[in-house]
Amino acid sequence: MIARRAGAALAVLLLLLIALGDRVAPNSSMQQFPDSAWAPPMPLRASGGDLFAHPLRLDDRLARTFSEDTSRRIDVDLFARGRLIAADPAAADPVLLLGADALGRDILARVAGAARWSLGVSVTGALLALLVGALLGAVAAGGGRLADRVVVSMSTGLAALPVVYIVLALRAALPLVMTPGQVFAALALLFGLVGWPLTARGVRGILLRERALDYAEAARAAGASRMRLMFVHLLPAASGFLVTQFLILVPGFLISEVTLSFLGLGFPEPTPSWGTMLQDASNVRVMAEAPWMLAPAAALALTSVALHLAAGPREDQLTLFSRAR
Amino acid sequence: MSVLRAFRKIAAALLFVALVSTAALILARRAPGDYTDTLRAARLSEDVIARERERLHLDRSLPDLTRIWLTGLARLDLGTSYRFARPVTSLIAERAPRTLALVSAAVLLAIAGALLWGTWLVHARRPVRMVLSAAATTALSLPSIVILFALLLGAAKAGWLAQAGHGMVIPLLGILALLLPAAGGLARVHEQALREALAEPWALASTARGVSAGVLVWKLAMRIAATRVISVMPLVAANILGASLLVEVVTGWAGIGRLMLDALVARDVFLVAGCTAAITAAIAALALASDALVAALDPRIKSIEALETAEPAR
Repeated sequence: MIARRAGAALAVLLLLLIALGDRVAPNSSMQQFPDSAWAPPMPLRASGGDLFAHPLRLDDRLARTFSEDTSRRIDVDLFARGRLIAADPAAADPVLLLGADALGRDILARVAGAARWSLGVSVTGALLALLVGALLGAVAAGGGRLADRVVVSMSTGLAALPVVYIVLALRAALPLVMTPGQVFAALALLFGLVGWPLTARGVRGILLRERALDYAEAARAAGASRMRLMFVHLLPAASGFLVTQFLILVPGFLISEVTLSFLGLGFPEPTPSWGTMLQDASNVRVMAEAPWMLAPAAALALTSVALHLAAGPREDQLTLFSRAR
Repeated sequence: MSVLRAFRKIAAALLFVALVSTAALILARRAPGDYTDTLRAARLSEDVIARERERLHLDRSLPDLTRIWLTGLARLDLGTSYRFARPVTSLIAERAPRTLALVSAAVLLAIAGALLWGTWLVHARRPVRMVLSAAATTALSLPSIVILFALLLGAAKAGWLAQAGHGMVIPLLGILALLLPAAGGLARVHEQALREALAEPWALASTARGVSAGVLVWKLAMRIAATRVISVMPLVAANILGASLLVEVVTGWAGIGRLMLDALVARDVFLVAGCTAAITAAIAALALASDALVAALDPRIKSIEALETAEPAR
């Protein structure tokens, strides 16, 4: 239970991150600081209640070695100047708390800014998938034998295929070059289109079970139509299941987004996304020499673990399709 | 499994392969741009391009193309790749075994690991159980790509990747990254199934007859509980296959994922459909194998299936 609450709290913080996006870090996610290319993270220091960081000095331009210039300090404020973390605007050097990439862009700003795209598209896609899943589940449970057969066989077939491959094939059928906004809309729709099978199966099962209960019988006796019975009286019983489904769908779609962006079919540069950022870090030499480039992987891991914790124990997830039960 | 039932399942599997691969073919053909755009970019004459379009069946209508594909599929002739100018079957024969090796190693190790992990979860005392349980939750929620990056970082820092003969290290890390999330999830499934099996009346009856705890857990209950893990295996394998795409790209493992990606981007219609057919055929075969294995392990399934056939549910 504690783990579940901690996960839920973390998940709420992550949602805040979508809202804040580019306002988390001292710099914009697009701004380039050429002198700070490959700069390592600058430690945040505190003295007497004030936060500050020492600027970095470029020691060797070719080897890209840096050292802290302890003779100078840049003041850092929290919740100031419209940012979560704000640096002294008069300072000549940038504050790079998680280091910089090959173009000298702030990794912290990019990880936070990417949350808006990567998490945003996954959350939108998950909501769409829930909508489709709940509708089809209700149709299967209340729409007669043929509708049930169609929904069940479609969901079985779709769930058997790897989601990443379906999304990849559908995405590749669209124009290869799209604007970030178009990519967002396309991916969210694709996620909604392919993510519904488990939700539909779960909702169908819950509705079939609920339909046999006395309150459903009472609603029927009072003259409720078949669809009214499904959507108004029975569907609320599936709300707990839908919340759990949502928490499990989001990390799944995040992986799909990361895969597509990594392969160049997702969000285009310079739009920050966790997938494109991981692509920059995917070289073993980069990993060893600039491990801070792996920050998006840490963000991805944290998000995924938080959402799974918030979803709680979920043994029955996989077994929705199991016949041996 | 009755002969009729087996026959129906195989027919359904073949239909599934034909449907999904045809959908992929239509999707790739309808996508904006086609393969001859690259020829036009190379400033070849319209005459040459028209002849090339005819040779590659690109001048055919969609129903015609679908017919060519389906009649070819029935003869296991998957057409010719535009991009590689080679029969699709030979390309798949070259790449698919590499993906199969990666994915099947991960699936088998994940199942073996999950059976041990889940059984231990049932047996362990409280502090150990909590650690094992937290580890399972963490493992199942970490994406394979994150685990792979962490492993690669560790290997690079340890200097394993700089030594001569590190060729197998990276694929092994890939397998580990693929199997960990699956093993964590399956361990939970197995734990639950084992607890339920041990709570059934026959388990109590066996104990009463003097069967030892070890035989009860590791032989009798394991056999029944394992059916749950095996019945979800096709889904888990599909997940692992999905994750293997990125693992293949990052580790430079020339499998079917990379081939499919190149085919999709190049609008290589028959290669896309061929890769899809190979992937769906593998998934369908696995589903059939899992069904057969479950029926062989748990004799009760047969009677349930017989009941279902006689009197459909609902």
